[in-house]
Amino acid sequence: MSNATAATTHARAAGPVSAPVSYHAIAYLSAVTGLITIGLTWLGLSHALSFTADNPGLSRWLRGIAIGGTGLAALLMIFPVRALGHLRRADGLVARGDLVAARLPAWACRQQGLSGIGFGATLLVIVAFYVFLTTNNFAVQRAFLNPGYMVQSAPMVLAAAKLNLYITLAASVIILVLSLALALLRMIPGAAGRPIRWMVIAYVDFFRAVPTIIVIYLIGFGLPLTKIGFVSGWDGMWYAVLALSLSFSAYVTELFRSAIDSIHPSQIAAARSLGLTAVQAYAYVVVPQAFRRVIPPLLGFFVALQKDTALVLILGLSDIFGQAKYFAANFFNLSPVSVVGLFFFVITIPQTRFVDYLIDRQKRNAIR
Amino acid sequence: MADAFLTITALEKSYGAHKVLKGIDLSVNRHEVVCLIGASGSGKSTLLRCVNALERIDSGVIALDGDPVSGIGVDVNRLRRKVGMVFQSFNLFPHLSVIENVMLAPVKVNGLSRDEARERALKLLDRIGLSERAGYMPDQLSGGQQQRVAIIRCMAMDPQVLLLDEVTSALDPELVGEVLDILKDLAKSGMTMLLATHEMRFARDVATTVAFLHEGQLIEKGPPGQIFDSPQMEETQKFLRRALFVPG
Repeated sequence: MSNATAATTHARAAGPVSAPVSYHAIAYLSAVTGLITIGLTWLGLSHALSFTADNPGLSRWLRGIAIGGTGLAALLMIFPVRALGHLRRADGLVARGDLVAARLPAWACRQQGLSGIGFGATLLVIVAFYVFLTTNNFAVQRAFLNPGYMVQSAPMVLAAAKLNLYITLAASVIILVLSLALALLRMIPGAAGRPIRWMVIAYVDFFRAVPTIIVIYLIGFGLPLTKIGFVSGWDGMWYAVLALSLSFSAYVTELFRSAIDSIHPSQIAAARSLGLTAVQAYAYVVVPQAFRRVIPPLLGFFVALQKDTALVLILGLSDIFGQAKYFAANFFNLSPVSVVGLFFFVITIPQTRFVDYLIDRQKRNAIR
Repeated sequence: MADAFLTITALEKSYGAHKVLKGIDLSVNRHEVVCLIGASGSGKSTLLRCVNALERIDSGVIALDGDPVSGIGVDVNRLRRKVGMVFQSFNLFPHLSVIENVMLAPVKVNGLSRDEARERALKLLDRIGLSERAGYMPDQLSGGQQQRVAIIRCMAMDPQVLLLDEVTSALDPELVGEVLDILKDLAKSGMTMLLATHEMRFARDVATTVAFLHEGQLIEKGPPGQIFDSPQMEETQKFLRRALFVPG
């Protein structure tokens, strides 16, 4: 350190100092947090062992986790060690007055030091979650993630997902058709179209304002009560489809409308000047272009729709959630519902990633 | 004007309180090329858009072949089938390939079969040397190529008059020539054209009549030699001094 201080004075005389001193702080902080991480990881992971003295098999597993985790924490010390190495080289160069050459090891020191802090913090969060699961004699894990209950309920719970799938598919078709029709009605020009536009606006406002679960409840229990032959004798699933379609169409109508709006008027001018009628201009020029733009956000709504099918449980349908709740009540344990959570996690993550990919690609194309 | 094909009489147009066209009288004969010149904002584009009924006019009459085509109740689709329009920013349909851009109107408006339309479109593309790009998407073409396709897309409808709204203004300088060459060919083949342009050289070479617009009024018109060499009005002289000034 004293060397570096001397060098700094020297450098000041030579010219402006561009290397900040903070890399010293980062390197040492990284080393200290690395050591703390090792300690905390061991404490956190070995805590669970105190509950399993009477179960040697499980104890062996948990001890393995504790030792493995702490070993990983120790492995992360490689970052501070490297940072300190770069630090020494940087200081050496500064001492020789070679500030320009010192920038590179100083930069590497900062990178390694910050990486050590970042990885260490992440590991600590995971350890904290493990402590949360295992604390109080595995109370949380027992309540939510009991492997026995999960395996036992999984076949029937997952089989019930078929209903959610049917509802999703049926509602998607209705939503697409209804929303496109409403979006186009919303754009009818002139005085004659005004009441129609108002009607669509009222529809969109209403169903965007009312929570989906209320719509499902009112339609699912209300329509059968009316005893009107046309709407009261349906299978429960179709009330769910209707309610979700009405609710989601409001959002998707707005989506379509804004996409159609985003097509430049010059496209319509070009189509009309070629002799296409207004309807033809929309059908062959505007809507196809709007549809392309709308695909990524539309898939986003499709994902949301899949998840919201779990709401139909309030109608007493045996969908994936209904089935899981039945098991949960029997076991007096929530693990079957966690199966539902895992199910949605597994099926929606690839879709969301795909949507992100499409949006990225669209951005790239827009720049081109 | 015995053979006046397109006649514009006392045309007025405002956007809100702003009067863009203040009583324009202009006629275009068959096989004539009329160039509208004037500063930006003088009303050239608005005039063209009015002729194609893309803007509603406030008063005056636009007649095509003696038929009034302006005003309420006129079948604008029939009008537009006779009148082609090419825009400054090309306005090709980005979701359709080059040949589909050219085929769309003949198929949907004229009811041609796709095969027939394709054959005609290929012939037209061949005329501008782009038949090999038929399957490309518009954004894969240069600006000059796009504008040439846009012109051909209009020609596929066999218009009787072509309106061109500053069709070279959005192009890089080295691409202007290829578009102007096509317009020259069209003019030679007898196409009736009304065009707004900043290309004075082109106007002098190709126009049969040059009309100078200034603040929504048609100040002066005549054969290019007369307008460019001995303009009578002060505004025209001022404009041309600026427009024809070649630095260096």
